[in-house]
Amino acid sequence: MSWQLAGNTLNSRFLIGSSLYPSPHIMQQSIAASGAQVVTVSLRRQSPGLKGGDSFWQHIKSLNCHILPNTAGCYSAKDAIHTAIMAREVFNTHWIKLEVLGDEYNLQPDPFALLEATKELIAQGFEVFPYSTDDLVLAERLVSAGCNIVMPWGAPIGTGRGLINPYALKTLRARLPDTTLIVDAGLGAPSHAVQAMELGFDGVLLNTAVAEAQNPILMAQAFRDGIAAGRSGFEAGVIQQRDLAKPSTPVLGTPFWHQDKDDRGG
Amino acid sequence: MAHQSGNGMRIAIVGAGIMGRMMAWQLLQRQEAISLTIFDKDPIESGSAAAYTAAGMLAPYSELESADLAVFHMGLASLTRWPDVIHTLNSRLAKPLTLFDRGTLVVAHRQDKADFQQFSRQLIGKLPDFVQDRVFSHMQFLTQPTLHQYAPQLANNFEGALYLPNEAWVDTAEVMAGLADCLQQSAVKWHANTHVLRVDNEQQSADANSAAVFLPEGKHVFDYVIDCRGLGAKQDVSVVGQRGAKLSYNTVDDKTCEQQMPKLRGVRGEVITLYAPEVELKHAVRLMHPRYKLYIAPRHNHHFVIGASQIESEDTGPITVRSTLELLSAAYSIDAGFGEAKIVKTATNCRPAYPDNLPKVHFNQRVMRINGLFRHGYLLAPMLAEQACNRLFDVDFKSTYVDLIQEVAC
Repeated sequence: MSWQLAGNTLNSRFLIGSSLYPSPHIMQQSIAASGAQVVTVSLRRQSPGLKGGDSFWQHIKSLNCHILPNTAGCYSAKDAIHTAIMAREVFNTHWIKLEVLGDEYNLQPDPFALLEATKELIAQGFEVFPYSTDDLVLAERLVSAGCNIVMPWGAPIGTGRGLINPYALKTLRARLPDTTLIVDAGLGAPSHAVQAMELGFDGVLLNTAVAEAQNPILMAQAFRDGIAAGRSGFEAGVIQQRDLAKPSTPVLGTPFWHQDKDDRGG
Repeated sequence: MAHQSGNGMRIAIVGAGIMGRMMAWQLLQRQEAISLTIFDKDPIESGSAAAYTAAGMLAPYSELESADLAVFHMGLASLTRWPDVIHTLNSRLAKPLTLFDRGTLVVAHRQDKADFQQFSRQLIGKLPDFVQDRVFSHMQFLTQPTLHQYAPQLANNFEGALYLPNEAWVDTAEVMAGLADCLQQSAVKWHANTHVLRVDNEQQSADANSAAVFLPEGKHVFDYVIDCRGLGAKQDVSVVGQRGAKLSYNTVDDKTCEQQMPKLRGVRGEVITLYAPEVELKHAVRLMHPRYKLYIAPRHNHHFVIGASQIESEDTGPITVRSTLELLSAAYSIDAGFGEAKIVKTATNCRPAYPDNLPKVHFNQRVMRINGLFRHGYLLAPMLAEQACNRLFDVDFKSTYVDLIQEVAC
């Protein structure tokens, strides 16, 4: 089932990162196994001005995926804008995953600097994919600033904790029905991705959970399947939970001597 | 037996980093009739080799977290060769080299316990059966009181540690100088400050019986050429790969050939050397952290090497402020004695790596290329050299490291 991301038709709802893998070779195999069509790439620490990461980036470019450069490692709007401009030159794309961090330790986004950088980059013609917290007001401000996409966290980057605040994420989905919402960061297990997709999110972006798994290639497949299952579940419409069990076979007319063993519906 | 002429087999080694020097040394140790020539772009005493920047860790267990099992197996075997390497070198040297063999203490701050557990889990999960059987002789969890006996200063900051008793390290500057000394005593012809354009077989056919080292002013012909240049070989290896893709072969198809000669890349690393009279660490220390893995390798006289960043970049420019902050705050968090340490040196270099981050020995007629040692130059050099020597002197030799040593028909 295809969907639209920033004007592109995609089949996969999995967006995957390219850091932390044991080797570029395993990274390539994992990304291929994930089925992802969008790959995020960092460049802040790779001396982009000198094209220092060129050899490594070649491995990513050869995957023929959409490249979503990111501003990982930026702690101010100015840094992030500067990195985005270099990313546009290096990767020849106006897409940017905007990360402006406010805390060194848990890499929490700085919402104020994020909004500031978003406004500037949209004015410069970028398609901004902002990495944000799950705060509703921030998400609304990002949309008002012109974002078509918002990427709230499931949990802080690399923690693998899953959706720490499903309530906030549900609220975002309900209040921003026309915005592309992607859960970005904090997922650990494939079940976390299923959960995010069942909430109606448009996609999932992750890196550490795959790259640092004991078998990254197998974990990439697991997330691919989880994301597809969660989306199908959302589209199929999950039944309402009930307080009482409701047998699927009517009790009326069922021979009572069989009922204990055979005919209890679920 | 290989072709001989004049004063025995004429062998050239191109590149005098740790791999080139170790290879030369082991060739001489075989006492085969050989005449050995070394070509290197740098002076004998110093240079831009990654070997000078490396901390010299011989740490196959610690590396297993992110490295392939093949590196672990070869690393364990290599670790057992190092005492002998040091011993034979020391028998020729006025100033003996040290093998620091007190093992590694792996620690994590309380807030990073999850990273410590992830490291331990990865390590235990990946250890092969022969280690699992006697796991205590390979790794020990130390409680705070036990840690206090090993490293009292660490016990003030950490609740415990994982001890890897078999790991070791060397002083890289010392080893590079010691190898050079011994090689020069052995009448090796050493062309220092010499830029090599490329190395290649003399004839492009299955019966090539010589290989050449091409310099700007002409070529030198040998029976065998062993290319140990690291990133310096980048241009050459790519050329071989491209040519390989165009030809057809009896034994390997084009795709396999391309995979066998993949592109080299550089992976930036930054290290800092400190002089810290207040620090008494006698073990190597590895600090687990959510975003970087750091180690401290003690040197003589209260010097310590703090390393290393690992960045997918080929920039060899000076260390960045961020890396400096990260390395030094990690060191300070391990032992406050580093607070008043003097920064003796910062260094940056690029590790040569193939796409799978595994080393490779490619043997094609009369040219052998040993490259892609990545983070594991000192760890793997003795075993890679041993395997390469075995193959050179015995055409029927089959290495047990099948993934790492390849005959290439292109």
